[in-house]
Amino acid sequence: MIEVNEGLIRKVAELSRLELNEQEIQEYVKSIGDILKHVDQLSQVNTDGIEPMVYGVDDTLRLRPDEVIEFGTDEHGKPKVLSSAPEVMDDGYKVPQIIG
Amino acid sequence: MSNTKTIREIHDAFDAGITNPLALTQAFYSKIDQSKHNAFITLCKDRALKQAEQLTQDLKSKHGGKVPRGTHPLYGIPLGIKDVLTMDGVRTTAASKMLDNYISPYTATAVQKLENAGAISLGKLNMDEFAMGSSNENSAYGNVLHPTHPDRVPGGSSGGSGTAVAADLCVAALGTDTGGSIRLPASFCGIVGMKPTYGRISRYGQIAFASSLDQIGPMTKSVEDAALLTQVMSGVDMYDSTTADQPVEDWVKVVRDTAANPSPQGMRIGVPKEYFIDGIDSEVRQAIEDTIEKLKAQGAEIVPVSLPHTEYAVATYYVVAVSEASSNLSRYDGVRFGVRPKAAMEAGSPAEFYKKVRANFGAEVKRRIILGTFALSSGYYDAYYRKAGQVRRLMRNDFEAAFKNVDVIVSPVAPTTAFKIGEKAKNPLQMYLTDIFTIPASMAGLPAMSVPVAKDHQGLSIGMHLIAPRFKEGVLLKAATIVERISS
Repeated sequence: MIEVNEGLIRKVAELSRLELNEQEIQEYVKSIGDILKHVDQLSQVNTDGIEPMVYGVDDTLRLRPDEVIEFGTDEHGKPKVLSSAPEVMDDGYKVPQIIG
Repeated sequence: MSNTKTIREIHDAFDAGITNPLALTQAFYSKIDQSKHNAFITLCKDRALKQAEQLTQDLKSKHGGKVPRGTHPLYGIPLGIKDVLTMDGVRTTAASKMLDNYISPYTATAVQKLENAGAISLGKLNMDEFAMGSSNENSAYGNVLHPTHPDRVPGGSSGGSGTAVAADLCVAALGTDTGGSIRLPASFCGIVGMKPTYGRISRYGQIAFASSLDQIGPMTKSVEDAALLTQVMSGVDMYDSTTADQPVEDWVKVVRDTAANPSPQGMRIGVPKEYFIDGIDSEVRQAIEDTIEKLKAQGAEIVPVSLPHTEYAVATYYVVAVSEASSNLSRYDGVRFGVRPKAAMEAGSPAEFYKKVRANFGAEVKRRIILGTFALSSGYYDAYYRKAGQVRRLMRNDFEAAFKNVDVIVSPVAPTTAFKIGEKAKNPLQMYLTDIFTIPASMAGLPAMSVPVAKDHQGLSIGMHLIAPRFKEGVLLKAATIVERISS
C-alpha cells in the first residue's frame, strides 16, 4: 500500500508540470491518499492471466487515406487553425523567447 | 416527468401553424434570459436566429407548411449543446478557464449531423470542467442549479444539459458520458438520458477526457426523442476511427411500435444483486423495486444476475479515466490555443512556461492529472494502470456472462436523489462513489439509459438505469419505452 505524503505529491506534481501551493499540497495529500486507499482494494482481485482491457473497441481500427484536407481560412484570409492561438506571427504560432 | 413538448408534438404544432421555428427559438431565448439556473455558458443567438428564420421561411415556401420529417427529422428543433463539443466560430470552453477565449474552428460531427437534420443550436451548456465531476460544482463559470430545487445539484458532469431540458430551456440537449455524466444528471433532473454503445457516435469535436470511455448522447424529455437524436447522430465517421461499422436501425419505429403495445411479455430482465447494496437511499430502492414488480406483473421474466466485480468499479475507473485524462490534457500548452497567462511570458524555460499555463486548470482537474500521472509513472504502472485494465476486462466479462441469460439489466442510476450543493464538494472520494452504478456499463462500453420512474418525498426525481449488450440500442429503447409507460 502506497503512503501518500507531501514528498510524493510534490514529486508527481513536478512530473505533471503543475505548480501547487502549500494549501493545495495538503489537500491533495488527504484526498489523493483517500482515493488511492480505495483503489488499493484492486489488489484483492485475482487477475492472473487476464489481458488488460485498454481500448473501448476490439476491432482493428480503420485507416483513412493520407490526404491533405484544406481546413480553411478565417475572414482575414488567415488559416483557421491559428484563430485561437494566443500569439501568431505570419502563418505560425508565436512563443516568448525562453531558451537563451 | 417533464410535461413540456416532445419533438413530435412540436412538429405537429409547426404543421398546424400554431408556432414556427423562429417563434419557438425566440421563446426559448426569452426563457433562458429569465432563468437563474446558470445552465448556459455561451449563447449563439445570431447564428441560431438566422437559422430559425431561414427554416421558418422554407417551411412555408419550400415545404408547403408541413415539416419535412423524412429528410429533416429535427426540423426547427432548438437544442442545447454541452460546452465540450465544438461548433465552428463559437466559443467552446469545456467550462475551463484554460479555454475561456477558444473559438473552435470546426464543428463536432454529432452537432453537424443534428444541424443537417434541421436542428437549431441555442448555445453551449454549462458542465463540470473538462467533464470531470458529478455535481456540476467544478465549473469555472459557476455551478448549475437543480431545475426544481435550487439548493441541490443537478448532477454532473452534464449538469447544464440536465437542468436546461428539465427546466424547458431547450427541447433536448447533448451531453457526454465517461462514467455516468449523462445518466446521473438525467436521473437527478427527472429526464431521459442515453449513453449509446461506445463507438456508436463520432467523438470528433468532443474535447477528450478519457478516450476509451467518452461517448456523446442525448438528454431528452421522452424516450422517443432520445431514440431520434441517437439515430441521427450514429454511424461511421472518417474523423473518428473508433466509430463502429454497425447498422443504425430505425429506433424511433422501435419506440413507437413498443408504445403502441407496451408489454414486457417475454422480456428477460436481469437484476444484479450487487446493485442493491446497503447505502442506497430507501426511497430510491423502493422506487426501483416497485418498477421491477410492475414489469413482472405485466409479464416480464425477472432474473437475478451477478456482476461480481461491481464493488471495484469506482477504483478501476479512477485509475483508467485519470490516466487517460493526464495524457489527453497535456495538449493545453498555451501555444496553439487557450489562455496564456502573463506569468508564462516571463518563464525562464519551456517547463516553467508550461507550468504557468497549466495554472489555468481547476482543483479537480489538477487532482485527476496528478492521480493519472502517478498511475502511469515508472514503478507504479503495473500495480495501478495495468491492474485496473485487467479488472476492467473482468467487469466486461461479468456483463457478457449475465447477458447470456437476460436481455437488459436494470438498477438504480445512483444511490441517492440529487444531493445538496456543497454536501460532497469537500470529499472527492464520496463524490466519486455517486457513480458506482453507472461506471460499470461505461467500462464495458455498453449502451445504457436513465428513465425517470418516481419522485421521493421531497419531490426529487429517481431514475431507473437500464443496460443492454453492445450495439443493442433497439432492445434498450424497447425496455426504456415500457418503463416510461408504466411509470407515467
